[in-house]
Amino acid sequence: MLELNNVNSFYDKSHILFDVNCTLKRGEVLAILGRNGAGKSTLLKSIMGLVDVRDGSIHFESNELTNIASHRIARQGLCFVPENRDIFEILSVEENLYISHNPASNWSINDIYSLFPRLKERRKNGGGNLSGGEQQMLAIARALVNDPKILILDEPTEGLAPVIVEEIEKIILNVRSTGIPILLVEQNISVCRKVADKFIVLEQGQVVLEGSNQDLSDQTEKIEHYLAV
Amino acid sequence: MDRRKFLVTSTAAAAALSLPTLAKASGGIDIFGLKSVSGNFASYGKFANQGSEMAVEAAGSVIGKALNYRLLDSEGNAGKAVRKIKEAIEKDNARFFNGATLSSTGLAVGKEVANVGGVFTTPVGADEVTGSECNRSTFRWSTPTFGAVEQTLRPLLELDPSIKSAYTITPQYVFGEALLTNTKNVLADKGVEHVGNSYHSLSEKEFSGYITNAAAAKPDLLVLLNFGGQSSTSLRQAMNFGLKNKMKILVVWSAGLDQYKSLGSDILENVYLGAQYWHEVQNPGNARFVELCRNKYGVNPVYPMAGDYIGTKIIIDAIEKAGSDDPAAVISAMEGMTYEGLTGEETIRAFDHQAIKDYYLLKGKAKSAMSDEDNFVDVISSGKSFPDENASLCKMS
Amino acid sequence: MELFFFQLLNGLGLGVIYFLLSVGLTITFGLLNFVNFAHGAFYMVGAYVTFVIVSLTGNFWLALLIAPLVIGALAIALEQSVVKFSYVLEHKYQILVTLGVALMLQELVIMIWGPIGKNVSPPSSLAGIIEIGDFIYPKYRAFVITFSALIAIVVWWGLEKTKFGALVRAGSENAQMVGLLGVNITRLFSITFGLGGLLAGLAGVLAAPLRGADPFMGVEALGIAFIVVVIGGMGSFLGALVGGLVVGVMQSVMSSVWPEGASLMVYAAMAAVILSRPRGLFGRA
Repeated sequence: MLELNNVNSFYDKSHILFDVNCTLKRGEVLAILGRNGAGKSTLLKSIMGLVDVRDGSIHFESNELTNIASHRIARQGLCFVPENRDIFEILSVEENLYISHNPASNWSINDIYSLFPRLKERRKNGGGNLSGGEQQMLAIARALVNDPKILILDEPTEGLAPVIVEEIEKIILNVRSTGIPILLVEQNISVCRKVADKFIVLEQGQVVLEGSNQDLSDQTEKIEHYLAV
Repeated sequence: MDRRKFLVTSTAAAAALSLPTLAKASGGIDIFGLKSVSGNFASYGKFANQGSEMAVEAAGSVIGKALNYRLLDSEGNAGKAVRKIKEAIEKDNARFFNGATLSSTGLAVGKEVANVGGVFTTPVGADEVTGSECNRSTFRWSTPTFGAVEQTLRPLLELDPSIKSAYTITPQYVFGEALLTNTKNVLADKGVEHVGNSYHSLSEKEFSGYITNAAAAKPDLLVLLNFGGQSSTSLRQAMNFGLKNKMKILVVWSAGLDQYKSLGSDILENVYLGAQYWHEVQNPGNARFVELCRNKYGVNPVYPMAGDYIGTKIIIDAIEKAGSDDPAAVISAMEGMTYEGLTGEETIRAFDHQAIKDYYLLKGKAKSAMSDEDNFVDVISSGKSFPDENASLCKMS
Repeated sequence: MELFFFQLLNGLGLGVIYFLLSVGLTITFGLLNFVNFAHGAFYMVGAYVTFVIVSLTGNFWLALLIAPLVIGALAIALEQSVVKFSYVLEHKYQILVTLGVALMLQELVIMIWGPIGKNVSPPSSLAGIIEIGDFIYPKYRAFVITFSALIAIVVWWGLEKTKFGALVRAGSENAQMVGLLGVNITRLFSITFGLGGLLAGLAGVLAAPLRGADPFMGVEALGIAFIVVVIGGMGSFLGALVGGLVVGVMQSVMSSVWPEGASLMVYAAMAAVILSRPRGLFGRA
């Protein structure tokens, strides 16, 4: 569904990604691993049109996505949950969902409230009044009501309590079961083992390792070497 | 050739060679018009320029020499004006000047022209021009604050003895202060109570506060001592507050026809207005001028045109009277000169170079009473009032 | 005391016009992060369009309906042709571009109508005064206060209760994220810029019978709008409302207490706000 071919991304003059290749099929969860600064977020941002791709291409189904406007990429169904969550603090929980809501989506706002009872409880509260975990829930919920064809998550479990991490794992698997593929940047290997079908490891902007879910257990040492500071 | 013949021949040759130069010098008389044709006062400058052009064209030549009109754009800025005047003096030997829109420009230019003993006529309003800063080169055609108040407020109070109290609105500015002082004197003299005054800044656009203060004081007469756009705005706002029904209103320093056109008769009806010039006034000098203007531009003349037309014409008339274009002779001719001006017969006072002319008290007419589209007012009275020599601050050396 | 109450009322009248003038500027700044120095020009052109319509038809109500729409269209045209290319530039270039537009509009107006102001009469139905004992107040001014209050309510409702309003508010916090939700952010910018211009034009229509139309009123209006936005806080509707009223009341009250100091007091108030709450009274922390 999603195909990256020899993608080279730049921030101004800095060459960040070098000939990155990867693919994502229906119902697959692909985890992207690597230490800080390896280029993981840049990869996601390249897909979303937020970073300059100067060589190579990105395709979704048969449509070329390379360097087109972000909102048009999002309209094609690529729903992005950024590392900072970027929920709108000036809006209430309800409003955050409302402006995202696409009636064609598998998830209605009521579905969201069933999936995330905490959000239902806090629905009139301003986005800025939520805890970190609740904000993450809202960010994901917001992507779900936006009619995602691909869900893209940037470090969704970072800094969260284990009980919330578990909830997020459940949601990822839930989404996967509907056939929607997921691209996931995640530093937590155990989370990856639970949800990812395959993975790639980035080091200094290049893909240095890839493998299946099994390899996450078999090649743990090698992976950890790339993740070590 | 012997020495004597050589001297005679060479002298004759030198004389022959110098003749063409003399002929060039008597090729014409240049009159320089200093007008604010660009910048914030461009509309004033445009009309002022037309006025001077008309005067030069109408005369064509004087004492057998062709008259040339040369425009200097002051850009509405005293500094720029002075620079251009200096340049004209140095490069073109300029000696005859007319114009200036702002008093600051008029005063500065007057000094420059006086340095070379030239002639400068100006319509600017500051008292100093023929008062404390008078000089031998500067002549003024317009009525300053003393006369403006004397010829409007006094006749109005005499006309209407029911006026027992007055409120003034004054711009906080030297000119405004001068008008206020003169106003207070006349009020005191006529036993009319000055029930209050509101000052405002020169950039003020919102007069509702002052108008309500005025209304609260319940005067019989509201005297507006501001000018230009501010007199228009405060008059309009006073009208909005229904003040016209509660008291008489006098605008001491109105701008004339162009201002009346922009306000319209609805606002002007029954308002008393002081003016330097009115095109409908009947006398030979004005009749000639109005005809010139109608023929050339198809409109009635406005004050900026009138002021610089007559200011330019005075110079031409004085050259004629002096029989010479030597500036010193022209100045002497102008002092005490009587001529057919735009307000009737006018004289230029010798001791301060002030043209003695009428100032008008006008009253706005109802739209239905207007005989043509420019007949906004009736002339109630007019007259000449100027501080006499004892009261004047002018001491020319 | 009565005088004070009267000045207060007057100040509110002035203040609501300042609000209409500033709300577009603050939202444009909040959403687009764009410094629009042409904003005052919208106000000025609004007043002139009113003058033209009233001169031609004698109907002020027609002007009230049409002029804001004309200005809104002008604003969008400007945004599409010139402004949008400067979003990515630094603020100093935005200022240059919009200042250039403002000056061009000013000179165009001078070329057509001259530098001296034009008079616009209030509609005859509102030409009189309201008299309660000694208290007099022009009907037109009373109308301006009520009408502007109504518009303020409509704008508030638009911002708080509609999807468009929610998008504008979200966008002023994080425009990129709004785009990532699939919303055409360039169109959102355009429409918002147009609405901001429309409101400034409306302020110009309402102000025309109060002080006439002159080419330099845009510069004056821009100065006031910026002060209001700084005091109220950038991007805040409530800030524009409170800021506008504060400036209006202060000017009005000062004009009877200390006229020369009216401008000074307004700048002093702005300085006080900057020192104590740099983001403005309602700006985001």
